[in-house]
Amino acid sequence: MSSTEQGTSSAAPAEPTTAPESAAAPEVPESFYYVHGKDKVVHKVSAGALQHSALIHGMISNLGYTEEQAKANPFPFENIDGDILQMVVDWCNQHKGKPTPPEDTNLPKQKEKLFDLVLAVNYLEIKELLTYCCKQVAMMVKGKSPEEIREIWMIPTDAEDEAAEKEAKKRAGKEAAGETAAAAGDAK
Amino acid sequence: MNNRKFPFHRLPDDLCTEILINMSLREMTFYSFLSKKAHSMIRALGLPISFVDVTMTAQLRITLRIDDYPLKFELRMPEISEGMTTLNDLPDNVQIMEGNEERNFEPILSNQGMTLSEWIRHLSSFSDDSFSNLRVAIFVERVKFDIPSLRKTFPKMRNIHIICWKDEPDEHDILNAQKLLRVSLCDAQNMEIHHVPLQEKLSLQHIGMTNLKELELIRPINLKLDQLSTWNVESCSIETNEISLRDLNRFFKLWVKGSNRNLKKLLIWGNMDVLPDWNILLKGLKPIETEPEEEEAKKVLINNYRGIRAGIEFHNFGETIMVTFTVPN
Repeated sequence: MSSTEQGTSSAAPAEPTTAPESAAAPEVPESFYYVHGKDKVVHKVSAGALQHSALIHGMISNLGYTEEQAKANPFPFENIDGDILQMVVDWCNQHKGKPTPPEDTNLPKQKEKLFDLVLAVNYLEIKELLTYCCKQVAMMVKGKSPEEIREIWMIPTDAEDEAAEKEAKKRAGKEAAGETAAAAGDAK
Repeated sequence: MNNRKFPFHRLPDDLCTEILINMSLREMTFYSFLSKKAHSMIRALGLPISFVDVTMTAQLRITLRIDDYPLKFELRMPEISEGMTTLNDLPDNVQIMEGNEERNFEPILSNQGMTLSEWIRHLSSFSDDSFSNLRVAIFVERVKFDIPSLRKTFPKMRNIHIICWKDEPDEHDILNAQKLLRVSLCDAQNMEIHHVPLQEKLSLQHIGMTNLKELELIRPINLKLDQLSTWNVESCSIETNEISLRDLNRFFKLWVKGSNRNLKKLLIWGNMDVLPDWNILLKGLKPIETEPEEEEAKKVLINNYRGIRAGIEFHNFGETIMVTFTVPN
């Protein structure tokens, strides 16, 4: 779908190979942008496909990059795994300029992948894909008993919630004490 | 991470909410049992629950309704001969039924460590207005409650149906009905009393005099229609085979003189052994004949001394007669 290659965010990426298949040859030359995830693999994506992401669309509008500048400065999404970003890019390319169907059966079935995908899609603000993902997560527990839902969604008990809260408070207290000590040290 | 698991609570709260609203009411309810946090997340969704019906017979049934689509929880008790005595008991298990065709779901749920009272409060908490949307129906011959557990479970009972199926209620049924009425009358707005045995200490007269919005009496015992003039209810419907047109006429005459200022609607229907003589009903009321809303009916208008006009419509369906008295707003 999209072209990818190894590179780094600091260095200019090498020439990506081909444009996405789904992008039909437009009359006006289409502009392309570049994104990479944690694995630094650069994905070339058309502006039309990226319109699905409110975050990237906003960045493009604000930056006003030329093609050359865009190639030299791929958008870095260090918090998104490479394979997840690939999924997102593929989805954006597949649904470029098309009305989104009510169901999407191409989402990953593996729960670990789906969790990362939900977070990435939420971060990138891709509304339609987020809706599909949320439906898919809800489907995981369809027809399950409360005990099974706890198991599948790893829902902690009240006791575990309380213990986690205590632990978080303790940690926050320690951090605050550390900061106070550091500030006192600086003052001396 | 195990591929069979999904760390739901590690998602931001708004995403959790987005996922929860994609679930069915049954799964939302199941999720709410898992922890206090899960319960509060479901409550925060503000589910459009139209009614929570609690029916207490030998078993307790709680029905959540969204757009007339019911989800029912039947809380099964251990076999006991004397019926349900307290809401502090734990049910044995819970059968779920969904939809109007009452499709059963397997597996049967465990009691989730909750007493009957806790089940009622948990499920009714989903509704935004849990007091107004809660309708409680209690069968007095099957349930003998201790008052504290009832008060704790229902701090305000706005809609209550008290029902007795026995043709000849015994002392226990009378006592039980009295207890229930005492607990519920102060907060009740809508009340249905179905063939409930009452005593002089707490009679239909006492019930009618409270400020109820709606009172429905089905086969009431010892009903005296001439007492209606002292009642404060806004809307009253009575099903009885002991309709006295003379008493009703007396009631209408008193309305003309200014009684029952709160009454907006009175509906009485039932069987009569003899053909009704409508002249008895209308005697002395200076009725003005008008077009009825239904073809088979007759309708008259009467005025009271304050210039307020009301309609009286009467039907005769063979053995059954129906009289509707309406005061327009």
